[in-house]
Amino acid sequence: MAPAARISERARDQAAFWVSLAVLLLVCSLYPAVSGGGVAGVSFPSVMPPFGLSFRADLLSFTLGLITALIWVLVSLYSWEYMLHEGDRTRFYAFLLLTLGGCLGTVMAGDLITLYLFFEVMSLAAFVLVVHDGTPQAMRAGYLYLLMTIGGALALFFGIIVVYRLTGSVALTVPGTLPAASGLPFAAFLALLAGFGMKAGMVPLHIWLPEAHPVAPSPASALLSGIMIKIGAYGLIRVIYNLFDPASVGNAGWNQIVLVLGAITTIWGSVLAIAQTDLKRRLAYSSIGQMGYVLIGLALLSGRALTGDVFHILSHAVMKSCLFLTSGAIILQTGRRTIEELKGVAKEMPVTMGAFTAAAFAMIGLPPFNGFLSKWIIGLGALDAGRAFYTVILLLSSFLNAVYYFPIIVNAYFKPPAEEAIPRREVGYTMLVPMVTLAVLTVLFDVLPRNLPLELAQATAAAVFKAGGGLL
Amino acid sequence: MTELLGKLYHNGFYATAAILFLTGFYIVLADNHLIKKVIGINVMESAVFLIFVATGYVEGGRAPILTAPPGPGGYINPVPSALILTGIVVSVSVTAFSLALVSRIYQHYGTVDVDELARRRGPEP
Amino acid sequence: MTSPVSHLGVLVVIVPLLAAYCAELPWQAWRRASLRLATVTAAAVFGFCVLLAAQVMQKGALLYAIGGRPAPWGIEFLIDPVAAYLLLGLSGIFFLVALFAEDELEAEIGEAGLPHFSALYLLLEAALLGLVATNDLFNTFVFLEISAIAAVGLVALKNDRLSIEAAYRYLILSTLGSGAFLFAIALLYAVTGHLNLEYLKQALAPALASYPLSVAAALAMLLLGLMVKAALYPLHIWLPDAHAAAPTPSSAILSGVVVEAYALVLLKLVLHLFPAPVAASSAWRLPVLWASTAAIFAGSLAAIREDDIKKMLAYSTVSQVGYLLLGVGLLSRSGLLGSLLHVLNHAVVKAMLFLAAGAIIRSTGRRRVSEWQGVGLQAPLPAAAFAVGALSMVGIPPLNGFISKWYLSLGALEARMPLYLWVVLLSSLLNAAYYIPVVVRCFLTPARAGLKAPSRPASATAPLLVLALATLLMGLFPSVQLGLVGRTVAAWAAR
Repeated sequence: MAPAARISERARDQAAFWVSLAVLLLVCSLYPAVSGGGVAGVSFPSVMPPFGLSFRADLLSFTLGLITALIWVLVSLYSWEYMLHEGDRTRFYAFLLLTLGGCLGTVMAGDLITLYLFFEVMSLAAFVLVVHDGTPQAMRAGYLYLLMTIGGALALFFGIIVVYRLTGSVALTVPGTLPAASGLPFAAFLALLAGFGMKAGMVPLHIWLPEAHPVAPSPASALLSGIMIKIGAYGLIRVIYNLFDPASVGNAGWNQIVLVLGAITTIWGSVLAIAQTDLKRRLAYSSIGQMGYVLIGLALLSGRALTGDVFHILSHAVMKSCLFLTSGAIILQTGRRTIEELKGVAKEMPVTMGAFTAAAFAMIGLPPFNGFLSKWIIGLGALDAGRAFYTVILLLSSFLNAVYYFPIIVNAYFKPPAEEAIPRREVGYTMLVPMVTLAVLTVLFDVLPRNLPLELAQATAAAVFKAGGGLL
Repeated sequence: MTELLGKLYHNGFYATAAILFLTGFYIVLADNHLIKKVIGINVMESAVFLIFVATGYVEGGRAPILTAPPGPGGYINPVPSALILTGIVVSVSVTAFSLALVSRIYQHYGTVDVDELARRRGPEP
Repeated sequence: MTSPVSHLGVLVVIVPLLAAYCAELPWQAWRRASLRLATVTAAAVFGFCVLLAAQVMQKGALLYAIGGRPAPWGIEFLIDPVAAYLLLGLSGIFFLVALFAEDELEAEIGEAGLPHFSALYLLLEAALLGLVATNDLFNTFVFLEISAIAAVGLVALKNDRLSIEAAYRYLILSTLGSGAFLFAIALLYAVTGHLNLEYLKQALAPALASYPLSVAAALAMLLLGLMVKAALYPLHIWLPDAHAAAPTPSSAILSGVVVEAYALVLLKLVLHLFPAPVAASSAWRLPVLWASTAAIFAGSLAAIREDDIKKMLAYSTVSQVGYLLLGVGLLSRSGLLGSLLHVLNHAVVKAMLFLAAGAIIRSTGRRRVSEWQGVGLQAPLPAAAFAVGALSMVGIPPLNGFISKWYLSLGALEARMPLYLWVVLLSSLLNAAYYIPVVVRCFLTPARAGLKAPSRPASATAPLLVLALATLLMGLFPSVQLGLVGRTVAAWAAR
């Protein structure tokens, strides 16, 4: 709804922040309409007939929209200072908002065509963010990203057109109209899986991610890793629960594909993360590993797993953006990009490093951080679904996470700095506030006496299952 | 064999037209001389004109001038002839135009041979 | 019959035809004014077409007997909804390109060439609009020839070695095509005795029973002739040189309008004229499908290798012609719809791309895309128009290329030939492979040191803006086109 109108606004530093904030408030205002599992929708049938453009918000859209807008607000605040050392700021902010419009349009889309449209807008706008620096390295990564994006878009297009051919409609409102047994729907499913899985960094379609995320300016990396890959997961949830229905997907065994790919993604991402020496690359590989959880969670087809899944989407958005923002701050102040060079950095930038540590602990899944809770719930969900194997995968990956996050922290706190440390060269408040907010959120998400995000996730999962025809 | 020859004789216009058409086509495609290509086009088009006019021909017919009496076969069909007049005009203008282009090519390159042209143009810039 | 409004159908041809002769008046002072004459005439014709389309929307197809002589003896114009839709689009593009030419052309061909350009341009417009409107087979041939001569003339206008040579090759191949086309007319006339399309159609069904061979030969010749003219692979060899060597407004018209009009004639004749068993026969559909597929891939691959921007666009046209005829070969309802929509979608986009490229070349003096770093900052408006066109070519929603892609893909599924869905999808990827890097280079790489572009007058930038807007609106609101085209296509596909 609102985002499309928002993107055209004159975009400069403050404007981007206020626009994002306005969008956040608008998203919040949707809550009463969707809280009871209701659906708010508006459609423009005269645009792009015969399908029309339609928007539709249910609890899942609301949840995703909320976290998107929240992270955006914090990131645009952070960008005020961070982007001062980058050129072409007008372009950056314009495309930052365009990407926001694309993300929200995608999660609020009421039919596949609208979803496809905004998905494309988001992907193409994000390309401009990725190549912002204009270095040869960034351009190379950008082209890979673009190639994968367009390839993924074609896969989506294929899936959508097959769905349209089979059902005569592209609406996302009637689940289970597709027979889930024969060849053509399966082809459509695979195509949609490839299209959205590509965006979600699913192995083997992940290759663009570790190239594109690190080269982008850090605020953009935070958004790419924190939000945009989740939009891919969102698309998969819609496909499995709203387009097909979980019961028939389960009967046909298609979720097995996603599960196996999810498991591979988890392990592969974590193992490769260990091998990285560049801080942002390590974080990017870690994102791949974490998306593996999300894939597993959504494909287990159990209510609890989906709750954990949605909760993990929320928590990972918070912690990964926190990690990228803090590493951006470190790179900005010290110019050091590799983990080896981080020795003693905690003395120079204690607050930043504190936030980093909190988020890293959350990543590993230590209590009392939110990562612990989401893994716990997905793990229980796996047991619910009778697939203990995936619980083991989760545990194993937690261990791997520890292997690659602890050295960073140890380096930062306990190793003597290589050169003369400059005490207290912390970044400004506009950058500190978003980082600290996110770090605090990682704790709050776990220890709140009444865990609102968790309840939201539960309600969302319940609503999704109800719309998807039971099974809970 | 005789039957085939007889058929050919009775369809003489068509056989001739087919031979002319193919000859012209071959010249256009195979000959290296730019002006000969234009001639080939003309040969080809006369084939088409022939076949077109032949469709209106009536054995023993006469030109449909209504004040004159019809021949033993009545009048011939005037429509194809009229159309082909238009066709000939078109063909003449195309020929003139292509000859003009050929002379320009000759001014620029000093040759009207396709291979020679390619050689003088040199490798792709 | 007395009110001038009832003569609209023929005015769209007569007016530019007469103006074409006026354009060549020999006074020195008239040279520049002749361009203005072309613009004004094109604007007037566009106005006629708007009125025509409004009438057709209200009352349905219009039949106009030239000189008051009814068919089968006289020549008829038939403005059905599809024709109205195309007349509207083509005349609109003619108007915009003429507007663009007023400022940009003189730099390319000199003042002395302007009257020739105007005359040929108007002649071409008359011929192409006549081609769309006429309901008579021989009249079609005459318009084909006029348009061929005018188009070749537009290529040759620059009068340098490359363009003369390209013009010669274009003329020879085009005449070969005309010869084949006339041959087909002769055969059809021989078996039916009619030239009016409606009568011809009715007489063809019994004729098919008695002379199947003649009808088949006529179809083959018709296809061959029009495929040469529409530059369907592998008969496209004349196109890249001719389109690239011509001055910019000519290129825009040649790639954007002329090729499309020929493809449309092919579509109209084959589907409308021939009886159902012939029209649906796979004997011609399969070769057309293969040729289209080959065109799509060969054109794109050649475009990827090409560094000269105008040649790249010309090769892109080769591949887009494949799109146009793919829908014809598929012969399903959505496929035909996709083809017809793509005729105009591609016309708008390709004309815009050529004009934008021309404006960029003029501003920066760079013809090679590898030198286009940062051009977007030097010539922002043309580069932005180029970007819009490029994205539309790739099929990004909500631009109009997406609509064509959607219907063509759906058509492939409807025809139960999912293989061609993959052809469409893969070709989008190939299109992306050569268009997107250019756009990226324009906007996201630092500019080379160079002159700041001189500011362009409004008449040069307005056409680009209008075309870019049209690209977006035709994608967002295709209902106008769908309304005009849908019914005719349903009638064709039902046969």
